Amino acid sequence: MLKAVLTGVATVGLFALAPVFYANQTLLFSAMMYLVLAQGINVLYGFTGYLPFGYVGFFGAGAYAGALSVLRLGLSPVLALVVGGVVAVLVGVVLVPLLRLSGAYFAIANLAAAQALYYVVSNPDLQALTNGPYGINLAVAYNATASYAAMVALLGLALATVVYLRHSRLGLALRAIREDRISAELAGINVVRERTIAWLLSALLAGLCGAAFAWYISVFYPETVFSLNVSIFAIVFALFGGAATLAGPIVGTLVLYGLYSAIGISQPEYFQLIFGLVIVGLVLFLPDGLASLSERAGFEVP
Amino acid sequence: MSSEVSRVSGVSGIGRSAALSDNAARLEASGLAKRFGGFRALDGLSFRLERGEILGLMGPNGSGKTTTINVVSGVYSADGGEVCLDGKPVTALAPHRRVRLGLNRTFQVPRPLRGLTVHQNVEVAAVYSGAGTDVVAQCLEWAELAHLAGRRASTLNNSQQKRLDLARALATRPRVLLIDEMGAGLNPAELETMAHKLCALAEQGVALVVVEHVLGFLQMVSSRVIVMNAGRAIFEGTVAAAAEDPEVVRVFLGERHH
Repeated sequence: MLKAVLTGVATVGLFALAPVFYANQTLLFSAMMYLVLAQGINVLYGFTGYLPFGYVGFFGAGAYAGALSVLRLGLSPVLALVVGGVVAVLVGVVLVPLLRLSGAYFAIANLAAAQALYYVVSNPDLQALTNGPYGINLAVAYNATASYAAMVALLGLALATVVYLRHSRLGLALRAIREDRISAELAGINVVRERTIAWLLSALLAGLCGAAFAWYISVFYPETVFSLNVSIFAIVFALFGGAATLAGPIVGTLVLYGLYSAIGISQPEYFQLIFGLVIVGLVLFLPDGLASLSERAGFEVP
Repeated sequence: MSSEVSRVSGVSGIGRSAALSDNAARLEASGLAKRFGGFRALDGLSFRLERGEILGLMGPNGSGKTTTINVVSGVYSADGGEVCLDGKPVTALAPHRRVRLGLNRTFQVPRPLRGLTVHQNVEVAAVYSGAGTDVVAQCLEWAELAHLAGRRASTLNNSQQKRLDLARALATRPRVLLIDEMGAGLNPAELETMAHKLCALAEQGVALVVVEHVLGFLQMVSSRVIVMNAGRAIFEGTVAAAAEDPEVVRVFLGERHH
């Protein structure tokens, strides 16, 4: 517990202070964004076993809900973050029936749901509301420092959520459900209720994250915030480090997003190759991520 | 085997004689039906179980014993009939609701939460059933697993996993416990210890349904057995009387022996 809290505080502190030493704030912001999304994936996958390939749907819903509540309703950006989170949770509520599916069926249905949201938002007929395919310009609310600070706070929230799950009875119940649904029910666990809580918590993190992204980036298009790449990056980062731990997704994101920043733009073909090899290697040799290596060596991962 | 058997079944006599003063049975199943496609796994099964009683459930493979446990515990929904716990219908309730009312079960092939520790397996049941964490140490002790509390459940052997399954069920403070094939894979010494433990539970008032192929084990624990065939009860009485019953013999051994 202490180790986990220290890990969390150190990570948040690092990103809070980093802009003082390092000029590329956008890179730091993106790293934090993926860190939050990877932990959001972790909340769902690590604790319930559902792998949400359409996770970006919550992110996009949050980005649009946040941006539109500033543009159309004149809300303050901070309040808009909350709206982004709430709307993502509402999308999650609508999608609760997906939890009846399992494995690949859930992943595909979730992906389809995210695509459906993308097509609704980018529909030219809805231009009056969403500006359709022409995207969003949030320049009126632009504030790099405040939105960066918001993402730091959000990172703290995401890490605190995972620490809570690892040390609470809810987390124990979720892990029980992940292990064996029937045995969990026979332990008296309300499986439907507990996994819905995890699903909505995960949606909330992605929604808040999307709204913070919209605020920081200021100009974006439907393709930007509903890109399947966002889901895949977050999933691979979380799994590479090790799901169901706090440190796993942190390490996974820092290493792989670091790699992406170093060569992903300048030499995308090499990055794609390495990224693909990492995914294959992960599935074949290390399904529980780097954390399992460390645990095999006798060092408990927080 | 007879001397040991009679000694142990003497213990179970206490459970047998404990009758209930009010007229609602602890567990009552009436007209239970369950179909899988065109196959009638349960076809109008009824039985009563009183407080502290151990009822044996026998029958050939596919006769509906495990399906009975699955339907009564709520793991399968019933296609017909009713299950009442202390006179209150539970047929429409989800398994976790039945658990919280005091109905639990074990599995023929144990299903521990493999990635969790032995202690966590019992703890999560104690917490979520409302029994409270006080019972955890007691249940581990009872199941002779206290020394393995910190081990992952996946590292236990079959006998230990069966006891963990039982400890998990006991941690929910059951009033009715359904036990599926406890004997399978246990050696004679383990069988006898387990029989003693089940009898002791019955003495404390727990009502048990014991599905079993090992006849000696049934003789040790239960005074009354129901023999099932094709989803129905074809016999009800003592184990000894069951062995004499021509219908039971026919079902177990086939037509030619009749």
